[in-house]
Amino acid sequence: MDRLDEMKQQMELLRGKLDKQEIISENLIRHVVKQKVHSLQREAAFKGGLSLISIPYCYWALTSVGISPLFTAVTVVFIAVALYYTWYAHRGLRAKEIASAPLCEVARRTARLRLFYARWLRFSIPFLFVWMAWFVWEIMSTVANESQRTGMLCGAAVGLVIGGALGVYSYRRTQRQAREIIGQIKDLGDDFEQNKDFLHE
Amino acid sequence: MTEQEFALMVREHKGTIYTVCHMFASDQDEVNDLFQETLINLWRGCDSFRGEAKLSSWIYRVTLNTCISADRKKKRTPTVPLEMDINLYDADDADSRQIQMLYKRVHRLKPFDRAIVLLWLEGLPYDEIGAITGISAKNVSVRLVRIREELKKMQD
Repeated sequence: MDRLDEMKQQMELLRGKLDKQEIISENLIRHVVKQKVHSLQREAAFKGGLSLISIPYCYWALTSVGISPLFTAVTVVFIAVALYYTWYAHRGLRAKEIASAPLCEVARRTARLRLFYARWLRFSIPFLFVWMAWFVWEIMSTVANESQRTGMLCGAAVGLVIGGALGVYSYRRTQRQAREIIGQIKDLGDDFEQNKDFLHE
Repeated sequence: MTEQEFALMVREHKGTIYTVCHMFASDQDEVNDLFQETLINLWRGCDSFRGEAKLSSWIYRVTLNTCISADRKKKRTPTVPLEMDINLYDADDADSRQIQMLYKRVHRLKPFDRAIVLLWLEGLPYDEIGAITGISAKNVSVRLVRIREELKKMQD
């Protein structure tokens, strides 16, 4: 028999052996997870940067039109709390550490991130309604000029719509990415299955 | 391509990818390195795969390129072992001995010839082997004749 033909038979044996095997590359999953965590981090950094800029800007804008110091303080504190909360929610979820961290731990931290984002929404939406009503009242009582008042209210309404749309988009995106990270890790199987209770928190 | 589709693709072609990696590696760690590097390259490249070539041809091309171009001595990155209960180097049953013989024969060939012979052993037609390796079908046939001669001279 020709050697190449003999090798073809040997190849069949090899293929038969490999077909019985289930191959899951943990490293590939880590790579994919790392990309997603990196994207979540980038988005959080952008939101953090925006919050940092908006603190002095809000303070300046609100005080310059004569809005009450209490309202200004509440607004600035809210942004500062949002900034801290974002940092806190992302704590322990760093793309650099994905290569070495146990994947179960990565999934746990991602699930924690999802939970924190959902909790924040429960607080921030009612707060923003109250804030908006308060803002309208503040404008009506402090700004005497009719056209300036209308302009500011329109500006606030437009800001609310755009901000709200971006917020919803960002929230859904973060939730989706977090869900995908957990899904990816879930594919690894048994080890995850034994430790997945935290996902139902 | 979604991650689920990619995972399905890898599961379907795992044997092919693993075989090529095995034939280019010199130990189990290197197989794992090559296999994982190939999967990462496939993942990176799957968005650019336009479906002009057959999916299996594209997978062969990426796997062979990864294996041929990997300079394992210079670039040895620590990796997490694959979840696979197989070691083709140390097993001692009759089938494994045959596979080890295949490995020895293929491994003695030059990397390019190794690629051609692997593709031929997978049952690909000459024109597809040529498309993957970048030579004409006629050239594939000539090379296979030479490889056949070389294998004949080889001592097991």
